[in-house]
Amino acid sequence: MRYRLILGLSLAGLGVSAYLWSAKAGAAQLMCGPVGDCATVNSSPYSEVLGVPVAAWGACLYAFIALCSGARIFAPGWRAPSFAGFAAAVAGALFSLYLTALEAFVIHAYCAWCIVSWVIVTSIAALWGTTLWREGKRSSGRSDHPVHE
Amino acid sequence: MSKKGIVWAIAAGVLAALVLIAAQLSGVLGPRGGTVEARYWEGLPQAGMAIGDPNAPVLVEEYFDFQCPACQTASSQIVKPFIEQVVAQGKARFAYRLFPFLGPESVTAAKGAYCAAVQSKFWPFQHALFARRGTGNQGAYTESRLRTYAEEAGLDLDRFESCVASQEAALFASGSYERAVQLGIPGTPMFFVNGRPVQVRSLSDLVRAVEEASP
Repeated sequence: MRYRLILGLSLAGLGVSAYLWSAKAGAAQLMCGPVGDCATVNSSPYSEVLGVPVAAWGACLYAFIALCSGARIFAPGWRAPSFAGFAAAVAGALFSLYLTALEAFVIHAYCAWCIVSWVIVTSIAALWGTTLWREGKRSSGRSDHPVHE
Repeated sequence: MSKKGIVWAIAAGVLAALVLIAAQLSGVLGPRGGTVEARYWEGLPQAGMAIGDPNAPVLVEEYFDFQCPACQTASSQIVKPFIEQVVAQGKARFAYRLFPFLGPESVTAAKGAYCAAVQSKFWPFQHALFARRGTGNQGAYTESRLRTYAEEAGLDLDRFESCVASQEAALFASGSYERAVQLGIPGTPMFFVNGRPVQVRSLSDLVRAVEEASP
């Protein structure tokens, strides 16, 4: 159930990132709403990493997380995607936190879509972390009491 | 997954985030920690939107729109190295020609470019505008934003604001558009070498065209 929720959140994040990416490329109109100043954030020098829009990095990250969570749903015994997906979510949450700090203290403008993405990726990281923690506790509990296996 | 595995995953995530942050800062900040100042135009003769020796044997012109993504890429990957490597040696002169066809912010940016040229500050101003990579009339090139870029470029702000609101600036923008339409410019960026249209996809294409046009 939890991995299905992570998959849903990652697809939502992928949608947000793809929208910001297409707006950055000029293919879509950026609807910012009454909060923030998306145009300033999306056109700032901080909107790119190594010449690639941050939104494109975000789209790749969410696609990767979706693949990893999907792998856990369809192949529950395969542990490697859990490690990789959780690591990617932690990286995304920290980088998003850094970007939000830039918006607050350097760019002096907020992008509501970016904050939505930050909330999504942070939720994924927290959800995945607690899931792994529970799985770890459950498996160690089983090994402590092999009689009950 | 064991607790050890969770700790390793967190460590890998933290490391990846730090690498991304370092990569981004290396692009935004210079080697000494200050904002990169790509002042490639300094020390070269400038006249309005043209740069280089007025007696150079070859004139390269580029029709462009500030909101055109390909023009933004060309400004950093073709025009900048071309000025540094060819114009600086006196082999050619380069001139930007505006074709503000992508909407109201293209027109506003064109007016701003005219007013920066009036104050002999077009080159730092165009650098500030291209750095924003504004597209689709989404607010990067509004009049209030242009004021910020004008300040960055070291313009006299009072003169700049009255100029942007003037009839001269409006006539320049509409005249630039009409001239490009009359020339049949199909899209931007569009390069001309000594008045001849040239297909330019890279710096080497442009350098080759200049070598062919050189006497």
